[in-house]
Amino acid sequence: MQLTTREAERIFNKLEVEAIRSTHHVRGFVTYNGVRLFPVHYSNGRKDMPGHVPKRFAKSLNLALDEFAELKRCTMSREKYFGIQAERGVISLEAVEVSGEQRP
Amino acid sequence: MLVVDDENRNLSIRKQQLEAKNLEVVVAESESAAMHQIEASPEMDAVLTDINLADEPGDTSGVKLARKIQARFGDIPLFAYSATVEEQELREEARGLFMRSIPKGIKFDEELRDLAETIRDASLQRRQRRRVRSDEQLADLVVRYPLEAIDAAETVRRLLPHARDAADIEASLKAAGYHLELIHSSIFQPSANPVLVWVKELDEEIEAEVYGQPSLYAHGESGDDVVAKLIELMRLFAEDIRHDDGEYAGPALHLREFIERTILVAHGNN
Repeated sequence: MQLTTREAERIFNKLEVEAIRSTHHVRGFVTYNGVRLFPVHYSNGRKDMPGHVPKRFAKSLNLALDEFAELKRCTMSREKYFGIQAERGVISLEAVEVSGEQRP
Repeated sequence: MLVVDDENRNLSIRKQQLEAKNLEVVVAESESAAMHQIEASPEMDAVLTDINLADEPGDTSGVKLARKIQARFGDIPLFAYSATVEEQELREEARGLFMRSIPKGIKFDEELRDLAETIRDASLQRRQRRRVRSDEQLADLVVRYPLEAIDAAETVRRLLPHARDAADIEASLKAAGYHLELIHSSIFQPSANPVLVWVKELDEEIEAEVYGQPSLYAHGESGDDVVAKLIELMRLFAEDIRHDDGEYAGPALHLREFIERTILVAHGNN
C-alpha cells in the first residue's frame, strides 16, 4: 500500500487531528472529546512515503491495514473510525453514541 | 578525550598538542566540570588530568578525580601529568590508577608522541571491549524482549535499568535484522536517561524506532539522517507535552509517560 503526504494530510483533516508542522514532520494527536488517544505523524515531502510507513501509520491509528485503506479511500468517516475504537475498548461506546460533549 | 587542568593556559597548550596528534579533545577546568563532561559523553575514550588541580602546594586532587571517574564510569583509560609531584610520590599516591603519568621533571613535550599513541591504543582497546560486551547484552535483549511481544511502557521501564550499561551498546542486532542504537539524552537534557532505538536497514531506506514506542519511528536515506529525524520527532513531541496540560489516554498516555520519564527530566529524573 502506498501513502502520499496529501493522503496523510486528508486523514489528519478527517480525524480532526490538530497538525503541527516542522522541518521534517507533521505531527499531532488523535483526540476524542478532548482526550488525546493516539500520537500520529507523517513526514513532509512530495513523493510517496516508503512502503513501510502506511503500516506504521495504520498501527499508530490503531487500525488494521484494510481498515486503514477504507479510511484513506474516504469510505470510513470519523464517526465510524471512533466506532471501531469503541469496539476495541479504547473509548466507551456510550460516549460515541451521544453527542461529542461527553467524555468517553 | 578529556583533558582536565585548572589553568587555562595549560589547557590550551595540551589541547593543541594532542589535537596535533590527531586526538579529539574536550577540556574541563575543574573536577565538577570534568564529571559533567563525562556524564554528558559516557563514551569518552580517555581522560588526561593534571594532578594539582587546586593550585596549592602538594595538592593531588587530580588523583581523587581519577578515582571518582573510575568508580563511576568504570574502565575509561586514565592518564596524568604534573609539574609539581615527583614520580615516586605519584606512584605511591595513585597505585596503578593511571595507565601512564608524566611526573615532575619530565617534559610533557618529549613524552607527547608516546603518550598520544598509548592513549589511542587504550581507546581502541576500550572500544573493542565495549563492542564485545554490547554483543552479549544485545543477544540477551533479543531473547528477553522480542520485538513482536512489546508491552511498550513495561518494556521501556524494564530496559531503563540497563541504561548505564547500554551506553556501551554499539553492535548490531544482525540476527534480527536490527541494530540497537542509543541516543544519549544529553541531546535533550543533561543526565536524562538514554533512549534505545532500533534501527533496521530496509530495501531502499533506513528505518528507526524507539524501543517499545511504535509511534516513534522515522525513515531516511542514512543512519544519521534517520536518527536525526527521530530525535527531532521526539523533541517536538516532548515540547508539545511539556506545554500541554491536556488529558491523555492509551498510546498517547504511554508516550507522554515515556517522554516525561526519559526526556523531560525537569519533572524528576528517575
